[in-house]
Amino acid sequence: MNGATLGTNLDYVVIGLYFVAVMGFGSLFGRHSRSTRDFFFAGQRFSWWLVGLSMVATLVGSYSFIKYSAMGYRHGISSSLSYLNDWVWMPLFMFGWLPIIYFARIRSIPEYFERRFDRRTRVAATVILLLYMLGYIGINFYTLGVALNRVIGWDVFPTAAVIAVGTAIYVTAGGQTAVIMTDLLQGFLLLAVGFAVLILGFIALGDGQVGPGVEVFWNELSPVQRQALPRFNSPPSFNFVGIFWQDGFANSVFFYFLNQGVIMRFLAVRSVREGRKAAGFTVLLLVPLAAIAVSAGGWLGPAMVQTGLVPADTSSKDIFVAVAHVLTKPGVFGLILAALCAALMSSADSLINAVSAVFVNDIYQPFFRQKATDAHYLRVARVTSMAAALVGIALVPLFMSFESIYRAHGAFTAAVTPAMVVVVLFGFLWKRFTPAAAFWTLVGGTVASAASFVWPQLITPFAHGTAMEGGALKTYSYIRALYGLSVSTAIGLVVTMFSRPRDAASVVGLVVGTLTEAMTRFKGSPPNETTGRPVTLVASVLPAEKDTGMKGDDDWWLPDPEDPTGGHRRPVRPSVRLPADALQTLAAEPGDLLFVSHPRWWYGGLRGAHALAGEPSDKEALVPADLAGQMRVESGARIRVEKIL
Amino acid sequence: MSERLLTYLYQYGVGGLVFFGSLLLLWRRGMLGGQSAERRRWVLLLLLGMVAYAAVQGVLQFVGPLYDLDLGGVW
Repeated sequence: MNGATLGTNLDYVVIGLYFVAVMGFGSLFGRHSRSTRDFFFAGQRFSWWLVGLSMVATLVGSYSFIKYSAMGYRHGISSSLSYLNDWVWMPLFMFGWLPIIYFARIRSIPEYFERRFDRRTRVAATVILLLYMLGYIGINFYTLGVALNRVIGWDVFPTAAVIAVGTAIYVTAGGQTAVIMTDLLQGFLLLAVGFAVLILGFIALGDGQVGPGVEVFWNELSPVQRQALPRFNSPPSFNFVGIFWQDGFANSVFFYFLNQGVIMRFLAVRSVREGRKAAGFTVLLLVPLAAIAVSAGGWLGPAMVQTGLVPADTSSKDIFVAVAHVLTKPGVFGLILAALCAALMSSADSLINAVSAVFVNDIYQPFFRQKATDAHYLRVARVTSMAAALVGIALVPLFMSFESIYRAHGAFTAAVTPAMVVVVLFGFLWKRFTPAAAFWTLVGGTVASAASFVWPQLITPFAHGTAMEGGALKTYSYIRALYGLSVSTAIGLVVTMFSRPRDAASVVGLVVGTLTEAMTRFKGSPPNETTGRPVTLVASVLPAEKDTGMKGDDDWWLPDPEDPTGGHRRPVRPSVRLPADALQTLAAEPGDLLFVSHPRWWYGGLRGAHALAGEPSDKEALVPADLAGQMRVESGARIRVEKIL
Repeated sequence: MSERLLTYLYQYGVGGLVFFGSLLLLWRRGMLGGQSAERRRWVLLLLLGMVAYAAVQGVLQFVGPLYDLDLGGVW
């Protein structure tokens, strides 16, 4: 396929308009980023559905349509397997990890590693995560540049640079809020494009009718291509057991438990309960839809080749673009290309924001400026966002010139993932797991995995009969994860046996089984878990001079003297006074944590904030002026109140 | 044992160990939520999710390869 012949001027206009629209839309949310808590965690105010829907775009990377369509073309329905084995981890994520990081007010994965283990483990995790994320930003820009170059002939570097700058502008302006809102928009586009390709494909195959098209599509797949799971251990490049251990175990845990961008997304919800709903919604419904959307072009391929709609010599990596081009008209094809851009921007924006969080929280604050104002850290965060995008752009020519560097990043990720996964799982599940064991598991597990690239025969005992072939860095590419997980687990167990664990008090709230203490520390008083119902009330806004004192989050960075695990202080929260009957409906007591928001549900919490319940009022809800300003409501307007804890 | 059955059993055998082992561990450590009714709802949702994945993948794994599709003019 000569890529340079595809696309028309109308398609290019559509891409350009889409790009400008997303950039403008994201930048609109700059006014919602007044503190680092806003910038990194969107003020922890969002609803489950907004976070869930925005996760679709984060799940789908710039290469996903090309990669999974290629897999779908060659192997059929089982190309979806990489997406469909996350559910087994949901109990641990929803009821173990999420409450721990939320209630312990963890801001970054390395911070957890220091509070749970020690500083050297934090430094090791910081280095690993920054190398991983910066490289991954570059890879996203590079792969999109390559994709657009193949399709419409645009030069790789300028294309990547323009998209990178645009993404960096809205992330720098709006932080996590901009990331979530733009990803919401982009997630819809990604799903719409994937399903449009599928349905248009059915119609084309069925001569204008969907039903006959579905029959042709299905009946042209071979029996193996119709299976949900691929063949057990062959071929080496795509087999069940390797994908199970790499994607189902190592990568799934890394994505949900260690991916800083994903963690920040789940910390942007208004409560742990909302986070659980977001996780369930994402993995149960949206992930399967995303799996279909990114694979659809490839699944249609065999039938479209058989019926002559697509040339028989189309390679698997070109199948998505070839199918989409055949099925769409000028302008609509531009939307397909916009979806590729959307997939890139939505992955890159999360990573840029995440790099900024790790840099400020794990490098700048602990090593350079321990006590500065929140405004200062916010400025550093914005500069770091821009710098992260620039580093990503700088990596593109490197990847273009030296494919070995591109592959080396993949090898680096494969080497560090199993060790990180074992450390985090042992860390929050096993109180006895020691700091020394964590550090040496990280180092030893990574070295052992790296050694397997030189001596792949090390993996053979774990290979389940998978053939040892594939060439440099690709031998045992999938099943390496099982070897890495096994070696890391062994190191963790052995070192734990011969080293001292931290005392129990210093890990309270950081391991399972200490949830009540963690909630108490989070709230500042014992949690109230009695079930109540949200209420809608008429607000009476207090004059500014009677304000309850929400002075911003300047204290948010300082250590909490009452927290032996080294946590940060609670954000300053205003009080609202509600009528006694409203408190009764909420099942709330004075001092309980509430979430007060604009009553329209579709704001998704954007116009809302946490507050503490004050003493009962006579009739109306007495709301401080600053809180009313955040909701943009005036006296006489209605507000919605729900109890959090 | 057929290869199709082997892969399916591996997926839900080892995956099931993680899933049910996690539920058991969390239940024993009191991490499955506060109110009992809410806890039951979440556990039920988690179990239904597992059943849904197993059912969909089971149909595609064992029934899909055997039959061509004939919608009989529907749509």
